[in-house]
Amino acid sequence: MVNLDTNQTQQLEEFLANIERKAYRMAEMSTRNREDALDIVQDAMMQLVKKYAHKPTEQWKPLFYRILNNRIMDFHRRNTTQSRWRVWLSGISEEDDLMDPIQQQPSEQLGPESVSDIVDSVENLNQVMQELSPRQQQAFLLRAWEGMDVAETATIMQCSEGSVKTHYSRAIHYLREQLQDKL
Amino acid sequence: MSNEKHNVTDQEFVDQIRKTLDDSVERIDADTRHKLIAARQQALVQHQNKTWFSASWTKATFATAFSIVLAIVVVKTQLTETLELDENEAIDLVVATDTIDLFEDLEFYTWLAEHDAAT
Repeated sequence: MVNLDTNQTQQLEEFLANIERKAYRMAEMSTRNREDALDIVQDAMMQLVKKYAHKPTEQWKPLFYRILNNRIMDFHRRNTTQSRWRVWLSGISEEDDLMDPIQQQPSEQLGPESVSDIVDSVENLNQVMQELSPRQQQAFLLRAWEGMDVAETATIMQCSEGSVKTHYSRAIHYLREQLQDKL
Repeated sequence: MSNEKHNVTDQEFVDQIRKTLDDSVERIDADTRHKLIAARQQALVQHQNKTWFSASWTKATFATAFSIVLAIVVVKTQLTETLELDENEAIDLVVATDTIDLFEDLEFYTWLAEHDAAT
């Protein structure tokens, strides 16, 4: 572990303060659960500070999003495995499990105050974003929201630039189809 | 041209989504914001603690290693001095033995000389 001086620690804190809310929203849209999203963001912060704090500051952002996206994918892999086990153990069909109406509801952790405050367009966007695959979400959010280019997004997502273009294109197409008149 | 128009439209659409996403970030509830701040602080504090621990551990290791080396040097020096003293004593002893032999020989030669003179 590398010692950081006061200036570096301050820079790191500013970086995390600037990125944490966007990161949380990305994780929350993907996991559909506040506590899971908070855990993922906290884990990403810890990993960045622990392993990459000594790297040049311009590398922090792609490194942070890479960790974040890996954690989000880990979350989905884990859930898929657990879901398969549940299906196998309970004997119910996977289709029924995936269509569980409780899972389809917005997380109750959000609380009535925050839910009622969210305008319709945000609600609509949330709902449609959650219908995208995790990879499509990542490609879209990194490109459209974070303004990263294809190469940077490919590095973060650890895939080819062609895959990024495909995910992004499909995401845009689906979002436009669903949201054209709602935003 | 139509392609260009399509791209512009895509861009406008993306801008609209970006604005909506930015709005959603501003609307994150206070409790979640506090938890994010706490998570950030925990990440930074964890690093500082580990850095401090790491530094302390390193210093302690160096101090222990230095003490051990110092102890070995001191003990070795004392052993060497003891050995040197032993060697000196041994040499003195050897010299002393030679001296005794010399004296014994001297007495023998004196007796021999006297005996030869008498005969």
